[in-house]
Amino acid sequence: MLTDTEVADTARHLLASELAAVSPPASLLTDVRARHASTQRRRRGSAGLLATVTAAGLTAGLAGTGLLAASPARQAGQAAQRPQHVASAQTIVLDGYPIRVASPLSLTVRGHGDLTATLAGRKIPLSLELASGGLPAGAARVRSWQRPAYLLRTGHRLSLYLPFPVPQGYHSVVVSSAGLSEAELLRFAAAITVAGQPGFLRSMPPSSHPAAHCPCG
Amino acid sequence: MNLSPDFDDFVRRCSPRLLRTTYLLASDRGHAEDLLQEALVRTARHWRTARSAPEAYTRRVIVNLATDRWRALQRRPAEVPLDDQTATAPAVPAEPGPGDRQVILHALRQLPYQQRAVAVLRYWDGVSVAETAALLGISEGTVKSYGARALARLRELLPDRIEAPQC
Repeated sequence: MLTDTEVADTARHLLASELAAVSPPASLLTDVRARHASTQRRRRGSAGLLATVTAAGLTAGLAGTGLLAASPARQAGQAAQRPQHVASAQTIVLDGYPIRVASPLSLTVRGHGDLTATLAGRKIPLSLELASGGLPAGAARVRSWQRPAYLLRTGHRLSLYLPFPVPQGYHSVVVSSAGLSEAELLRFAAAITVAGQPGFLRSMPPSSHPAAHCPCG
Repeated sequence: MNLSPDFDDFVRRCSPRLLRTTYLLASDRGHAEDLLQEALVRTARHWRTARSAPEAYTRRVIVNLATDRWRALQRRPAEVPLDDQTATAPAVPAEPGPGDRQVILHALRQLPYQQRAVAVLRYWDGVSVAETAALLGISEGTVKSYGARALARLRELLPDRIEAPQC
């Protein structure tokens, strides 16, 4: 019978070989510095991430979705002046299933499966996966530091997967977590695809949200 | 405030070791990378305080984040596996197959979180009993108890890997 020390030594030795291939991503330091800089900007009272979105990029992001009826330039100007958190709820539609984003607008993309939605009062984890560059849709995970605004600013595309069949009659998914501005949310919504199929997205004013007329609330 | 070159050196030097610790605590490569980066951002934010012992500071943040995540997971429904088209390969297989080299990782994952945390900190990171107790917010006696139970459980789970040397 081995002593505890010998068991611990053996386990450590085995772990060392099993973990030999585990190393941080090459972009770790860059990502940490970028997040740190973003935090510092926000603490200094600037517009944070929004301030780093170019007017042209924001205009293209909003206009390309058809989400906004007013002129893109005007919307971009308004978005830049808007407080980071807005009071009204927004609704986006996911392939026929609206996603109502609770007020205050908030959404955090964390690791695989870490985003939790409430569907008809039942908490359900959502999975968000990242497609970028040459990677096929769903090939990589969304990391917590790759928040939607950051992803979109850097040209990534998000894919949202519902890891469950949406029950018939239920079509409201409420997503909530930490803060996104309205403009960031719209840009996030514009970039969502379902299983790699874009173009399903449209906006709905909260008053016409089907959830207002259905049991799922 | 810009980050000093000291911080860059610290990240380059210590992040592989810290990632492995985080991986052992979180049992998932993706979450481990998330936790490590969050911990490093927090360390960067408090660099003036952390710079005297940055690895210990970051390890403390990692343990706190991993514990918070573990608590959060207790309160929410289990994650639903995705279908084949959308799932990414898990970093650690659910069940090790024949010849699978990740048996010890799988065995660690079978331990209750606090036993696993004690085992990782004490026997992987070499943290003292007193420091482990402080990190996990438990008494030194409990650290010793969890450590002994973890090792006993590893003996049960890995009988063919952990055995007395042949004479």
